[in-house]
Amino acid sequence: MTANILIFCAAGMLVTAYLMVGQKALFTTIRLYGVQSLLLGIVATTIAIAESRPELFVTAALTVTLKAILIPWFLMRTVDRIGIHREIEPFLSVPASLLVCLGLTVVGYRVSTGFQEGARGVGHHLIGVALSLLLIGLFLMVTRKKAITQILALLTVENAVFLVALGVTSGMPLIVELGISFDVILAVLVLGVLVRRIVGRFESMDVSRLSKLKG
Amino acid sequence: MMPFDSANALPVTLAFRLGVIALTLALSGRSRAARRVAFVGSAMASVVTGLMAADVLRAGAGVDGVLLLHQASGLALVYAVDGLSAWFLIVLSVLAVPIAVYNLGYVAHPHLSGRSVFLGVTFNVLVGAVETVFAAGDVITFLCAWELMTLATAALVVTEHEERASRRAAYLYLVMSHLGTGCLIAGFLALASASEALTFSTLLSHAPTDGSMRNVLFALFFVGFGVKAGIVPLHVWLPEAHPAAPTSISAFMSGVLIKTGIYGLVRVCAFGLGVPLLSWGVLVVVVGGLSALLGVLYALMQHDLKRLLAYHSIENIGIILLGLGAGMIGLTYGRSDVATLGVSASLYHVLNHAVFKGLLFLGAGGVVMATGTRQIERLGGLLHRMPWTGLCFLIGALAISGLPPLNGFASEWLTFQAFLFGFRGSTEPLVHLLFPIGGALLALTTALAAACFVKAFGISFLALPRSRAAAEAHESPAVMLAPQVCLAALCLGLGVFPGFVLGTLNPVVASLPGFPPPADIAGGSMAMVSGLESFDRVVPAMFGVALMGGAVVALLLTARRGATARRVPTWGCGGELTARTEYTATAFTKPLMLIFAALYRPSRQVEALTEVSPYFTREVRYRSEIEPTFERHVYEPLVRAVLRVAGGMKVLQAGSLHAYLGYVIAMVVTLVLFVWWTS
Repeated sequence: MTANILIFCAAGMLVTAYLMVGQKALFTTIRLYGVQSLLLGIVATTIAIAESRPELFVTAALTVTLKAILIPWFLMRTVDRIGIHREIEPFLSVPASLLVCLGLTVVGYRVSTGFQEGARGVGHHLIGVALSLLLIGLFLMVTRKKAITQILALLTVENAVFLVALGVTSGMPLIVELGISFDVILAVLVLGVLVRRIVGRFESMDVSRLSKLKG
Repeated sequence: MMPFDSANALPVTLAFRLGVIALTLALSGRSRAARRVAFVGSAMASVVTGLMAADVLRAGAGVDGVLLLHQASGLALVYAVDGLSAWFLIVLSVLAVPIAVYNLGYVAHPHLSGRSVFLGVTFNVLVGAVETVFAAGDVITFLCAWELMTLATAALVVTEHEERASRRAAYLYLVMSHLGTGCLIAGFLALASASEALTFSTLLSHAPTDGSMRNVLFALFFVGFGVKAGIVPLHVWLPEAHPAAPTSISAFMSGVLIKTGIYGLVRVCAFGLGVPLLSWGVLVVVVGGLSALLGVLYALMQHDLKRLLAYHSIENIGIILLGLGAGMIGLTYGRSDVATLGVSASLYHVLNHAVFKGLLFLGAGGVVMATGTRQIERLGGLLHRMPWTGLCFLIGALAISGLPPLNGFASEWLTFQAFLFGFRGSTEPLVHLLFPIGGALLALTTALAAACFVKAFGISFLALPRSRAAAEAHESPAVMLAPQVCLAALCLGLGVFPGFVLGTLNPVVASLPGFPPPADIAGGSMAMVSGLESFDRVVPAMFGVALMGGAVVALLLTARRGATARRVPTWGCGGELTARTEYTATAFTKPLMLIFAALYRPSRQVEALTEVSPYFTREVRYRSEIEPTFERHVYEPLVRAVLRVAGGMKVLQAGSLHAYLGYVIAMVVTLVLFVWWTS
């Protein structure tokens, strides 16, 4: 039962990542990120119950409140306020992106067998999904132009790192989790401010326009 | 003898220098006090270093020890002063003490006194770094000191950082130096891979004894040290950097700094990598001959006093290399007497060049301070206004021209001996061809140097002043004259007592790998014996007496005839004699420019400005320049090529965030795939 839930949730996370790649509406992408974080919270809770490690409940609670509720809310508010148009304009077309992500998933899964825990069983899926997620997150960062989408990509990478930690070691120490959560909040806040500044200056969040600052 | 502990002298003087630097910085509000502390302290430290080096040479036993020990890593910076180090340390001290004293007066000039603290501190850093370069016992110490020396020099070159030319000179110097340092690091790394310790002795004893690796190492070290020495064609930084620095610093750069290159060439390049190959010696002789000849030829065309002296540094480095090359070739065919002679001459010339070039630069510094110009075309008649500077400059000029009984003669004569008689015993036709050509080149160089200094001295110090500044010049203060008088006396002393110097040099040369125990080429303290089938014994003092004898006889003859000198104005063909009718430096060197037109490729522009009719010119403008061959035909294409490659690579650094992120992900995926592939 535990294994099924874990695999289901991990697969769900991968699916949300794919949907993020294919999605063009900004709000939906933010919601997808929320769903992804929620699934991550479920993974953490499941492991906490299965291995009876109460401190993982705190982690799960943090994940859900912070990443599934607070951050998406904050990001949506930011998008609302600056009132930019809400289409995502990727560098690469959606089909091509999906194909590349497919390749990245293969690489991620293949590499996961290199871990001792990843050779078989549930761990294999968790780590495989996590590594694929990581690579997809990086890929999203490269191909997206808007600052908000880049924040989302960064957060996806962060989720992936979290999932690797859960898969390999059944969770990091609480203090590390707290530190990372704090980091994420700060990163989102800073980037949120940055987005506003960029929009204020350039009337767009297109990061590729930043190269005009080059001397 | 005085109780002097030479074993710890080096760390103590370096610590003392640090104290001097700290005190100078603390006195930064009071430039006069800062100057005194910095330069008196520097002179004292240099005296102690010199005594230590002399002690090493006298006792015949080296000193070594640890400068700094890092307990955790076991990294130790060690120093080891053997004969060769001691000799170069003596050269350093002989020049550093007068320069420090000179600086007391020179830096006090209103033009520079605002930078007293900067100059005081950086000068101390520079001298300390050069001391460490000469005394370094391991590669790490050596390279650290080498870099510190380079940076301190670059800082001193931009003392007048408002001038664009200074900044450009420092940039060029840094670029060239780092090219050299890169070669050195590559060479030392290659050596270190075969050795278990980084001390010079261990490192060099593990050097490969055959194979192409040896040639590669030689080439790396030759370029690395050659840049610093200023050999042709790596000399381009030298004529830019020397004039840009304050003149006392130019004296130090020319006298000592470029000798660090020679030190490295002798220690590592020439004799450190086993018995030198014939091709190495030939290369050194060819490069030395080219440096000597081209250095003096370009010097002839310079009318900027400091640039002229800078080009003469290239010439003298060439002469030093000629001696060294003869020594290396001598070793290859087993003529150890030729080898000893060549290397002795080379090391002797290192000292001589430091003394007379230091003297000339200090004199030039006085002239520049007094007149505010370095262009000799604007000088003239300074001998009446600056008699002591003039006299000292004259002695330096005679010494650099190789006239007996001054010191330039002694070392150049020994180099001649090596070239004229050294090739017997070799079966290589190349050597039989090369040695006489080398000797001829040396002779030509010396003669041209004499011509050049006739110009430099004659135009600057004789006849009528060509500008108001020259007419209103005043003699330098005593604190600037005393070091010049001392150096002039040394020029004479080192020339009259060559035997003494050679006797001191004997253990130095004998301590080099592959050399026999001391051979006697001294022949008493006043004579030189080359030991080859030649004039067997030369006493420069006698030459001097013979030359002066002519003057004495002339004086006696005139006195006996009872003729009294009549003072009359110079006959001016009926016209009025003014400064404008004088011989100019350009005119003086014009015949040589025409003779060597193939090298100089001179171009000239004559422009006549007329007012009413073309037959009545109001003003004629004449401009003549020579082609900077190396800059135009070697370095400019090189720089263009580098810039083109850099421009191509700039595509990678596009300034686009996405591109950079793309590099990151590409790198990550590549690494992941690599791990996959190998596991």
